[in-house]
Amino acid sequence: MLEPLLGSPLKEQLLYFLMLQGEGYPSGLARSLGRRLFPIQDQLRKLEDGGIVVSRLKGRTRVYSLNPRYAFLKELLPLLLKAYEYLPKKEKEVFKERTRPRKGGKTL
Amino acid sequence: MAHHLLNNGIEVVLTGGACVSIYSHNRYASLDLDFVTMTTVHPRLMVAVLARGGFRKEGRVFVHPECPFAVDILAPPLSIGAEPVRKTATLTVRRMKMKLLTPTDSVKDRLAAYYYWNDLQALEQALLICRHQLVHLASVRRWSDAEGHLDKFREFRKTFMSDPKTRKR
Repeated sequence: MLEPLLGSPLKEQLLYFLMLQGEGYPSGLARSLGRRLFPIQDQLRKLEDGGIVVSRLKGRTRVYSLNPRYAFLKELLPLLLKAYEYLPKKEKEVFKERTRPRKGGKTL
Repeated sequence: MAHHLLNNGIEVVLTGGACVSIYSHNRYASLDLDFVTMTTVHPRLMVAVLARGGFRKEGRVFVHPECPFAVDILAPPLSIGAEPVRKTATLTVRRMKMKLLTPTDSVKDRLAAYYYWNDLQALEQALLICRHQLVHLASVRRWSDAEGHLDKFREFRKTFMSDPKTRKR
């Protein structure tokens, strides 16, 4: 939906994911989105350089989230949300990863 | 650094912890220099310009063998949260001028980290500025309200008022 604006379908997917899930880490994002790790890291780096996302270490994992201090966040979120609503149902499924707790040792 | 960038057509404003160091007369020591560029600069151009000043890129930051500070160049716009920074302060060192956040905006900059990430060190830094500089609390309050963090501003204000060292009008 926003690819002509953002210049990258992967960047668009990453923004949807972070908007909906709150945060994500590169290997988890690669698994959820069915993409290779390197392009994800590359796009996250570009988004971070632009101040749109921030990252911090949680243990040994670098976790990314939308930057609450980004100057245009209040304008960006409604745009992302509206574009997301236009996605086909099948494409929306990848962003609906389980976020509720799950006790260790339980099988899926 | 700021002078070198300006001579190459790149205007920057100093933000972050380095402003706290300056405004607290080094009661807080920052080893990061966070500069925000006023216009978008292509990364390759920035690397080339800073290389002429002896800086090389190491990860996300620029380092110099004779400079203890790590320099980070941040993308525009110059803002604190959703609020654009309209007025900056100027520091003159050896006839070289450098733009930086005003004390009031520097307090907002630190409080933003406290508001969004509950960073208590940033809250202490905001108070440290208030001990050494006059800060427009009404402006901080209005900004906090716009950012949706009036509750946390009230906590900050309570500490500010009870601290005998903070400068009050």
